[in-house]
Amino acid sequence: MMGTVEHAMLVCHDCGQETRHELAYAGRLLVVTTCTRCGNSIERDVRSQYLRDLRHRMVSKPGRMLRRLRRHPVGFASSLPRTTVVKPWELLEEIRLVWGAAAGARREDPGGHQQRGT
Amino acid sequence: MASSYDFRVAERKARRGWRERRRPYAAGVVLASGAGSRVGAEINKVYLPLAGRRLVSWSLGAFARVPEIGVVVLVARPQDGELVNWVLDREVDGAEVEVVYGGETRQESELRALRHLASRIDDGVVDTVLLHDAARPLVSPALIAGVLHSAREHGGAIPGLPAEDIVEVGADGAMLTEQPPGAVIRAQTPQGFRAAPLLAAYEQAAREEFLGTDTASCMERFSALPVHWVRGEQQNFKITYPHDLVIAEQVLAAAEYQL
Repeated sequence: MMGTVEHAMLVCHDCGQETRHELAYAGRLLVVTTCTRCGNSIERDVRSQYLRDLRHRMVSKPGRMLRRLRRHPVGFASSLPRTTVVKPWELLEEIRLVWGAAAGARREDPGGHQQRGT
Repeated sequence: MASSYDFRVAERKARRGWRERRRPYAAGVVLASGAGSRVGAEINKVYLPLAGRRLVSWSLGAFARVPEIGVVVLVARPQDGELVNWVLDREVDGAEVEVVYGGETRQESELRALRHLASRIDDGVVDTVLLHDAARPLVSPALIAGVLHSAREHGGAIPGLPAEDIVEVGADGAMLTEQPPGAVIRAQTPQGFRAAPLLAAYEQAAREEFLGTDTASCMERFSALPVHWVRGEQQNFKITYPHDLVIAEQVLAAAEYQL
């Protein structure tokens, strides 16, 4: 799984119980959720929203960087070299996640998002 | 050189400032210490990302935008301390949030928040307390203000939506009893109460080791305060299923990320 991945306890539609879920995000968008117990997953086709969101993030990035620099100059400066290297890879992984989930959603449900069990 | 008019204006301003400081305000308590069963390295769901911010920061932001709310208290788990600092530093701009660590149960967490506010409640500085579940990130400032006004007027207020799809099972466990329309509501949060009776009820509940299901159940048992319901909001649902996160994200996107 690519993009930002979080794990949290949520109630699974299939299991009907509170189970550990894996949630994959691309920017502000939740792209895939998977129940780690039964494998039930929701994949969303968010390509158009993602492109809009990416544009928004790029436009707002200088302001956000400036705010961080003002608040935590040392932390910001020390994280900059790593971020400069890692950020392009993160972006590529997000794109792969979004387009991969879209392909999965299209296979099962041409209309939008799909739910899939394993 | 200052004229007598300037002095009079300054005096009036000072008096008004004193009155404003003395005017009681409400406290918003956001509960983010839910017990939820845990098996691994998963995070508390109230810190999950939602439309670019963590779930809990949407609620904190909504409370901060209600002018009558003078203090916002976040009840967190000690193990979430790092995340709490991160959220407050990055996502909650312009709001002073006081952090209290919660207990084993929701009621204990609420009691700790009330004890944190106790001196201000005793002094009459805090007149009303609103308790909100952080797993309901889409609460609007309008609903918070509505609950607050109703609680100040009547003593207690709970938001809810009419539950027309609920039937009661009779005493024999088989017969269904029809509910008259509007007789049952699905309760939401924030639930608001006058501060002093609320604190007294929770202290008494602690002494008697009573454990209620929510704030209202504790108040019903230990206080005679009348509790009114105000119409809740469809969007003020609790994040329970993964799909709820998708709906919440869509609601926020449709509202251009402003509730």
